Amino acid sequence: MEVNQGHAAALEVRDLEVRFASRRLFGGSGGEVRAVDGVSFHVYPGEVFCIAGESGCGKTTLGRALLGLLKPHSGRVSISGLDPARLRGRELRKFRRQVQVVFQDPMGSLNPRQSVYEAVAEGMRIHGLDGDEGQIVARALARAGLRPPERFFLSYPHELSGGQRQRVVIAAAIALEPRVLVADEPVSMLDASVRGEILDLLVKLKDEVGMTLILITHDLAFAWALADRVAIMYLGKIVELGPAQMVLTEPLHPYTKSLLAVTPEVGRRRTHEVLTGEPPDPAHIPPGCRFHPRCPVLRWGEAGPQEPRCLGEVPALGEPVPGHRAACHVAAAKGVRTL
Amino acid sequence: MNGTLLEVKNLRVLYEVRGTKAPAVDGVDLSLGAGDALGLAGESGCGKSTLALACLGLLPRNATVEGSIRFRDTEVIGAKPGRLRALRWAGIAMVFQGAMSAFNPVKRVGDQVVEAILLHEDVSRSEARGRMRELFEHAGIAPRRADDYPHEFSGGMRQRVMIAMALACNPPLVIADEPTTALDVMIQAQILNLLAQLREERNIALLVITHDLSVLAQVADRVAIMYAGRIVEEGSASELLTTPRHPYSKSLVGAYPVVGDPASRGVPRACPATRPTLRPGPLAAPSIPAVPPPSSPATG
Repeated sequence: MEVNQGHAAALEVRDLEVRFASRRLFGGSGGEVRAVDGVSFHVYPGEVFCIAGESGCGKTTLGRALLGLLKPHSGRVSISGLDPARLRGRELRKFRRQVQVVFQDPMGSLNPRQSVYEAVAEGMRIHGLDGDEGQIVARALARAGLRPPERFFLSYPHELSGGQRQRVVIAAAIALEPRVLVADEPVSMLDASVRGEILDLLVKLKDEVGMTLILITHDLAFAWALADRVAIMYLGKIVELGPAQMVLTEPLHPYTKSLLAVTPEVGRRRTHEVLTGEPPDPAHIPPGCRFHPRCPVLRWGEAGPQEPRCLGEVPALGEPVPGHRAACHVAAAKGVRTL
Repeated sequence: MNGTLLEVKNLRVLYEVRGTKAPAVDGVDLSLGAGDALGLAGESGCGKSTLALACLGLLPRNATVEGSIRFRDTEVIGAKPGRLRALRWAGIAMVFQGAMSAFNPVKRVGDQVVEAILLHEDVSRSEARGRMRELFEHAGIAPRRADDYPHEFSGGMRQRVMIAMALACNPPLVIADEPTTALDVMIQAQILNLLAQLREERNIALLVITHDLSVLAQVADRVAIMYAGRIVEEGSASELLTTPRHPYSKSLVGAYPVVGDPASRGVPRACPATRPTLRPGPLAAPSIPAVPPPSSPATG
């Protein structure tokens, strides 16, 4: 299942921590929010790696740290040996060319007063790319499925549909031939029929351009469709990590199980229990396993002798099953599925 | 089904665009009995929200409506403003997608619900307050939160308040337009459970409008698929969502991968349809392969 396991990682993250000062309405000393709290993983070249979790779990913050858009508190990111947090000026620009991003809302990524041609050419100009600009722009647009490209050169974002806008954003990203493309909920604002096309496009381009694709999403069904490996995040930590086949069909962590239970499925009515409440506040992370206040295994008294550890000891991201990691005391003790 | 609640017959809605009329809803028939749950699905621009607004007489001025919409024994089309006002809330209530914009941001949410009750029913303020607190409890909101302002609620809680508000005057029919679209998966599941539970407890009929077929699997008994202003397939949710017959429904259902299903590993099948745009004149036949004539929708 895993791609190029033997090769050097395309991207490596080690003990990454991103903190934000939490704001108080009337001054006062706000605490600190640990949005990403000690995250480590590798992504191999050519892989589709999916980071999934509820809103507020830190998946977007993690994505931004990968891009060097915010400075981590500690830990490191390494993409082809470069850490964006340690780069300045020209070096940082070189790094940014290699790591491109597609955000959720294409309208927010495009300048409404810039034509499609300008939007795609801008990155090339910033990075001082050689070659015939017009030709490269045309090729990028055509690759992104906007054909014939010349027809779109002078269009403005408001004249395009949502799917077309996202294609323009993708064209601008791939015009730079990045090594890594981070796609943060690339289709969640698009209609069902267009979603398939855009995901199809991303995967096709991944092979054509030879990129590594990092897909950030809350939708496990799309992770199932596309990902080679999946990392499930909860309150700033990776709680489960492994090949999509294992994580999504034989989950080890009770949180993954709950997420799967609410993943909407056409044609089947849900029978599983729905977690109550909303994800806890990252400014007040519960002690022990941070999932314990919502954990169904604990609630049904199935944690057995592990229960005191769940309440008091932070579980490590162990490997209860070879190749399949999970941060759960119960899973670690049993070496099998928790539910 | 005990008696028809809502009966839509040959409904056409035309918007006047630059001097010409473009049909957004083009000959739709629907019927909903008391306690029924019908899901209406389709992509943006297919006319599903226009249909909902027509049922409440809320269409903008540039819209022309033809056909018939009967709610119990009231004809909605062409009804007098007073008659429509009586129908809204007490007859048909609506839950909108953006709960934030549906509330007045500078009034406490409890007061807004009380106001709706007082406008429609001859009860005292304290009776109305009592009912409001009861509704909050039913919708899973602590009654003490009635004194909070809309911005103090999270997206999911705000949607619960929205639902409590829709139930203020005990309407027999609730229309929910994309009730969970902006919400996270876990919260979405909670809201859908709530809708299903309230429907059961109060025998409310639901018309759920969404672009997301997976929502309908949770709340609807029957599903109608809308495309280019027409209903192209209608049937029981369990059948239509597993074995759709119309090519358009097939492609919509196929766009949702199923976790664990080996067949949906790999990119979701793209929908081959090019989306129709609103344009004047008779609608061109939807450009999907093998569309049966619109006069005979496939029955699932």
